[in-house]
Amino acid sequence: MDIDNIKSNWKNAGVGIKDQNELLMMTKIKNHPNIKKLRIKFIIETILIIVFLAVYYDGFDGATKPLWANILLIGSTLAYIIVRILVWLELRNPIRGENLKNSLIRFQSKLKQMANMILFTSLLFGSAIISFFASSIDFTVGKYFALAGMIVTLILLVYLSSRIWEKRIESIKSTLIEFNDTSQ
Amino acid sequence: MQTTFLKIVEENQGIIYKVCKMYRDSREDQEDLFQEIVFQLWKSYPKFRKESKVSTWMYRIALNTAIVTFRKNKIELEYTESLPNDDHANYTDSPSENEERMYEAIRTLNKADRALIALYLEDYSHREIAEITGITENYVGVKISRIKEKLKNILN
Repeated sequence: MDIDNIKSNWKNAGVGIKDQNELLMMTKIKNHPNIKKLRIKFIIETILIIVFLAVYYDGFDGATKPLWANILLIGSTLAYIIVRILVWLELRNPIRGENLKNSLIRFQSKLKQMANMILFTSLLFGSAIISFFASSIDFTVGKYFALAGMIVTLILLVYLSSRIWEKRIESIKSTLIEFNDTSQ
Repeated sequence: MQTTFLKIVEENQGIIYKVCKMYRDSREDQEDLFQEIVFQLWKSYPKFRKESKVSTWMYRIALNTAIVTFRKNKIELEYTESLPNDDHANYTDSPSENEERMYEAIRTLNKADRALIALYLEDYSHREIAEITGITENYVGVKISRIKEKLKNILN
């Protein structure tokens, strides 16, 4: 098959048969495969966190904990939710430039910002929960080990999350390099 | 506005189909990407100033979406003794063997090269390809020659 055959195949390919009703459905967010899943995950996460905020003071003896631990917990929880709302809104808009290369550059930079914000607020939220529960404990050796275990788990979770973001950013970066190679 | 948009996409949906076939190998991934592209086209439609051709605008959005959208994690290859039942076909009649070979060859290229060859095969000039991709006109020519050579080697 030479390039003329490829061109001819290309011209004959791609006669779609989706009607206007099917296309209309695709413009709705509720029918969108990826955004719908992200939205459901985000809504469940937000509801659980709001429920936690509503019950933690009575349920986990907020009154007996230091004021700083309560403030840190509420502040980090709000930051966690707000950042996820912002990230969700940003991810819905991957197209950001008049040409492919500019769009990729801007999206890559946005992804880096989002990754940093997500990782920072996850770390902050996890640390706030650990601090809250550890703030009024009389520590024994066993409890120190349990605390160390929780800290290691938190660091591990944040690390795994950072790998996922890194992979996404790398994917955009490698395409940008492919485009750049053509201009050298 | 919605009626005009739907009419435009319906008439030019072959562009989306081709981009999906170039950037995704399984039917399910192609369907998901198709939906994602239509969604992004609809969102960017109010900003489409009609200074460029509809097809140029659609290619720009479709290629951009295909490159930045992340695939779901799953096993990528599935080997079977016979051809699978075509129970998910919703684009068109079964593509010809040559057409499938062409897409398989194109999918071996990197993402940037796939975008360039698609625009070349669609008969865009080097200047237009440079405008859509953001790389210089001279190097569009250099790159297209290299891609054509690569494709020739793959297909022969």
